Amino acid sequence: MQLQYFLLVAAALFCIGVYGLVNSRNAVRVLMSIELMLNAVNLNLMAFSNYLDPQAIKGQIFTIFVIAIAAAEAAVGLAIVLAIYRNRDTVDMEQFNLLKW
Amino acid sequence: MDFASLAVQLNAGTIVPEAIVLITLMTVVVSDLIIGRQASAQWTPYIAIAGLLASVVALFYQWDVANPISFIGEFNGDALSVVFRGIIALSAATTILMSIRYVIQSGTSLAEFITILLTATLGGMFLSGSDELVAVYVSLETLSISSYLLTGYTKRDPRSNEAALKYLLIGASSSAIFLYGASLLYGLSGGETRLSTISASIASAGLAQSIGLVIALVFAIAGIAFKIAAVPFHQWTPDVYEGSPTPVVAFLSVGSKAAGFALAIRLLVTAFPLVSEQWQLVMTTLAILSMVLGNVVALAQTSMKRLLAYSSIGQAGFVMIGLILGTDAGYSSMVFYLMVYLFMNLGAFTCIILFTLRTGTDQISEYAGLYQKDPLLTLALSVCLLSLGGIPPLAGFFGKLYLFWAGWQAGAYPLVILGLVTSVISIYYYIRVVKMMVVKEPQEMSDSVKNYPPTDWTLPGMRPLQVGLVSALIATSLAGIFSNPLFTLANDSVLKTPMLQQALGRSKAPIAKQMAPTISQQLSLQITEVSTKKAVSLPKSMVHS
Amino acid sequence: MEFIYQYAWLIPVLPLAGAMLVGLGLITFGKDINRLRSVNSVFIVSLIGAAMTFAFGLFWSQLQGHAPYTRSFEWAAAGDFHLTMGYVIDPLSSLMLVIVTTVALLVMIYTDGYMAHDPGYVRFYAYLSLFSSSMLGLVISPNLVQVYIFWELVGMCSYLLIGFWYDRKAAADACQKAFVTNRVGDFGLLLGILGLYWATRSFDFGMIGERLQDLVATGSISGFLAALFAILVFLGPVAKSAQFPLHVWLPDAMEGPTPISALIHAATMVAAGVFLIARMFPVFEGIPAAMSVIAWTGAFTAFLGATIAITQNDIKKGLAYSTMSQLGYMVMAMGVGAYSAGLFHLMTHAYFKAMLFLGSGSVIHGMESVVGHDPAYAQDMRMMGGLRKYMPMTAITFLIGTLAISGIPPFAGFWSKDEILSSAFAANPLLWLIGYGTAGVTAFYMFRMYFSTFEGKFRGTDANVKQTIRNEQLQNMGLAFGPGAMDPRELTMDAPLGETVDPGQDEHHAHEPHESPLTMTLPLLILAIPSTLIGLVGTPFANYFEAFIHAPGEVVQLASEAGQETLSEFYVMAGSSVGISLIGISLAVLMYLSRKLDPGAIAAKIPFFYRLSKNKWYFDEFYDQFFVQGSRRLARQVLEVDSKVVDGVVNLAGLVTLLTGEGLKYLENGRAQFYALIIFVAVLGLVIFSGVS
Repeated sequence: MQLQYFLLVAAALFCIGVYGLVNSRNAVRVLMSIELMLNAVNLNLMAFSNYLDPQAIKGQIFTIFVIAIAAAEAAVGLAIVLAIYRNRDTVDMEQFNLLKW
Repeated sequence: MDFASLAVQLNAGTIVPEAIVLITLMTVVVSDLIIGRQASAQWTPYIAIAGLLASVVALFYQWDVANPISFIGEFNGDALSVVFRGIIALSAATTILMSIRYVIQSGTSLAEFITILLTATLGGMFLSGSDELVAVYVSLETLSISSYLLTGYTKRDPRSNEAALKYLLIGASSSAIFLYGASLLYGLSGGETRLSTISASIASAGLAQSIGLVIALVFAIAGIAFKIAAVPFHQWTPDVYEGSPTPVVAFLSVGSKAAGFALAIRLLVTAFPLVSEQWQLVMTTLAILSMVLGNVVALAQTSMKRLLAYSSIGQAGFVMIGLILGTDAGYSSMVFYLMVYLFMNLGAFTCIILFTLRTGTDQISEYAGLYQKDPLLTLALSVCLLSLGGIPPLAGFFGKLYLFWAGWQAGAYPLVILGLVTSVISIYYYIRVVKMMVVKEPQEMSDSVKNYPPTDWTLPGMRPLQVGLVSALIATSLAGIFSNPLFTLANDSVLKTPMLQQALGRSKAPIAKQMAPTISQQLSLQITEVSTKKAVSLPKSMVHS
Repeated sequence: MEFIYQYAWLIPVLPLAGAMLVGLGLITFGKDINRLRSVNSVFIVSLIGAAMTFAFGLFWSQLQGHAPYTRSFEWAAAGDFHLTMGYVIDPLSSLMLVIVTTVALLVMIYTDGYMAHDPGYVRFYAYLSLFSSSMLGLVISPNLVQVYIFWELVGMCSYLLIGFWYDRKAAADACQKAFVTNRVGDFGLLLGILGLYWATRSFDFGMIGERLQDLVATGSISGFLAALFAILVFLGPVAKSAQFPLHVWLPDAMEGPTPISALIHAATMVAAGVFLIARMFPVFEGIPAAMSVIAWTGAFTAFLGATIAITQNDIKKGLAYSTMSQLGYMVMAMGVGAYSAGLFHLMTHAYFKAMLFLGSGSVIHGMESVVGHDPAYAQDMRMMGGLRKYMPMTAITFLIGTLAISGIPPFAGFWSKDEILSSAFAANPLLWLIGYGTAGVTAFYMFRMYFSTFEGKFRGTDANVKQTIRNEQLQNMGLAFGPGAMDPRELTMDAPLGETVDPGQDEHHAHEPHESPLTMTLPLLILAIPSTLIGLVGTPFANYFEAFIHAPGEVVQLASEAGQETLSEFYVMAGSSVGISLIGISLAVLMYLSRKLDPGAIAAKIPFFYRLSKNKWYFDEFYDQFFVQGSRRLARQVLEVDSKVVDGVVNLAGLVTLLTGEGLKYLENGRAQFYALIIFVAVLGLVIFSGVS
């Protein structure tokens, strides 16, 4: 196995995340897409850590931090989605345009 | 090994200011839990303000510290970070002053608000001094996530919800992009995460001109540009400013932005010296777009908060001029402008909060004829807005003057001329508001002003608002005329920061050199597993300096 | 003693704090503060009193021979450019501090009586305090930049105070005129300051003089350039001290309340010009061309003012022209190098002229109760006469002032004027001749003023006089009169003026003027003391004044030590100037007291001179024709080009900007995912952009 493959997979995953982020109508799906992007980064970090930095494994430690923070972000995101659902009875991204211009 | 010696070896003294903020935060949370919401609202804000001011005092003692690098290179408490941490702490303190009445009136818990705000402050302060990718990311997210919560703090208001959701989505995606860039940096440098060693490793690996480095650069800039609201990463700004509680906006526009600039300087100067031409080019593009778009679109706004959102985009454009120049004067003019901006922008927001509390609206047309009813508010808002527009002899004029002067000295003529033109445009929309308040005849008064209730300063939370208003007013009027102390502070913060002096090609960076052996000693002593590698990589970076 | 030097900065700061507090109070709680009249006035008066005590302390210490004290701090620095601010206490500034604070204090006490019924009472005190602060700041400035800042501040206060009754058209016009005229001078001053900085790299008075001498001596800048800069700087004093040709604003400035005329336009601010010349003396001294320009400007102004003052009927305008003439003396003294004589006259003049103005205010105050509040009647001397019976205090103090300004020993004006005249004689007999003649004219018009105001019988209720004044006024407004000129407006014209003023119809008015309240007469009586006695400190027998204040670097010896020659010279000079004053007084007695000579007949014999004087040498008309109309014509032409070409471009640019703003804001469509998309596209774009380049 070579490093490039991991990087390519990670890049692809990142792009899928971007696509999902831009194209989903459901707010929860958008949040999931963000998780996808972060996981792509995690993959990147793990790959680099394994191939270039096998002793200090700083990449792996970094990954743990990223996972922890992603969890926090998801929690806050879901909380906000919940609050907005209570007020508006919808999680459709198309409906959220009170603030514009 | 006991705790004390560990603290000494980690050089934990550098983060005393942050520790004070953290202790304050814990005190607020715990006391709120113990004595209940109603009772705690009486005095938790003052504890928080006292804590923040104590932290500023502690920062004052950090000014001349001999060895600013702590936690094995995670955190760098150099003079530049001290100034930025001071700005962030002060902006948080002022935000608390203005938020007490607002939060009480909105019927939510004050202590929780303060807790989240202090967390954001903590994140911002750590961000200003972070010197390692993981620390940068963690503190960046601490700041961001607590900002999302603050934005959605009035959770029964659908506009606040929407603002929070938008802020979260855009913020999360740009931090994901930033993180992707960080992972590339980690890979390109062959497993380095300390900012100061990254570039040397990349250079020794022969990747200085690789497209990967450029991609990492642009991705990192995307994360920063989101924080400082530079065009085209600005689009969340007006929506979030309009929807969020106003004190939060005040903090975002000053504290969070200052943290973004601190990160920008540190990251671009220490991690990307190899592609300095590219980053200057990218930042120039962003600065031009921000100045033009921010100031032009502001003309078409009808809501005061949106107006200030676009104005803050434009102001970020001006500040970026200082960043691009890459000279002593450039950096110090940037710091100086941010200090001045702290006073005038927070002053303007205090006025808006006061007006909103009285009338419940922030439409510009509703300000018509305010002079007849509330001269003090009119005076304060006019002074702050005119200062933002750069009218002499107010503080903002001197800030802009110094920025443009630094730009002219460095030969960035087109940028300076564009800055001048756009600041003329900006004067137009600031003056429009002032004119609306002052010139209108009594019969042209808007309905809200006609029903304007007399100001009752004795209501809970109004006194702090008044204190904030008057001190911002005084600072904005006088900081220009007595600019010398601030000016000296800004200059010294740049001159005393080894990182910038190295980047500017000065060999006289004795602090950094003295530090090299102590740090590698610490490393080899403490963390035996990684000591070999660090000890090899550190001196290498010193050779380059 | 040292500590009062360290806290000398409090002198200008105290009144500033007062003005700020009261001003802020007025802004925030307008009505309530306005009601607290006496609280505000007592507060401000006590602050200026404290400043005065300080000033006397400093003055005393300087008198004891304390070395000059300078304190400065860096205000702004950029690269090698350093701008320092601070204050300097030397004999000159300590003297000025004493003059300004004492006159300001007395004027403020006087104001309490004079403005008692004015709705703007508190605002007036705030302005007065602000002015005192700026003036005090001006006199302790150690460098030209600070002088310029305070120079503009006093100008601004003067503008505010002249236009204090801004709803009166004349007052609004007058303050505008003062502002514009002063702008011309200030522009010259600014150019001069910048030029001197360019040449010498310094703003410090002494240093500029020194370096300029060196530069001229070594030939690095030409003597012409040095003279040009000096004359540009002199333009500032020309405007501020109402010297020819920028004197036109001062008489009009009398539209302001009388305390202002006394404080600003007689005693302090107008003297700032002379003060600045004194401060810049090291610079001017070395440039003979500049010195002679100064001397001749002063001499001509002295003569011009005196000749115009002869025919003025408005009591305040008459005093204004006399102020202008006396300032001319001071400037002339500076120009002939008589540094201490000029400042001596500044001091004596400050006291007696402030007293004369306050006295005229007291007269007007008394007259207003008879003829109403229209300044055209209340200030016209033809309506007065015989007031000595009704207002004895005012009359006696006014007489002292008149004697002082006419140069009758031992009153203050005699000593200072005589010193100037003898210095002028030593420099150029022609200058002396002008000054000498002017002294006679001065005595004449001042006694004319005194006699027609206080002696004879009271004419305030005489309808004929009133009619004459009204006709004159209407003529000024441009209506045609005389048989055959049947202007339809003539039939309606007396309605607006007549209604408000006719004492017959208005039962509120008394038939006799009354003495002013104690708050007004007390300052008059106090001012009478220095007006009488202060001249004695500068007698040629023992000139303590010159020993205290003399040009930097000049060695002074008391005249008594200088020998008998100067004294005998003094007797000749003094005798002749007292002689000409007595001639002037006798003429005035004959014409206005005993009515042996008919002034009208004399005027009719020399109509040209009469009209020249009456119309103020036609300066206003000339300026109106050439500058006002000329610039209007030019402006109109420019306007046409402007409205067609420039406006079009500007409007287009503005429109484009606005439209762009309108258009671009719709990019903000409120959809978060669209924003995210923009971010991704921007990242991609920037990668390509920076990767390619």
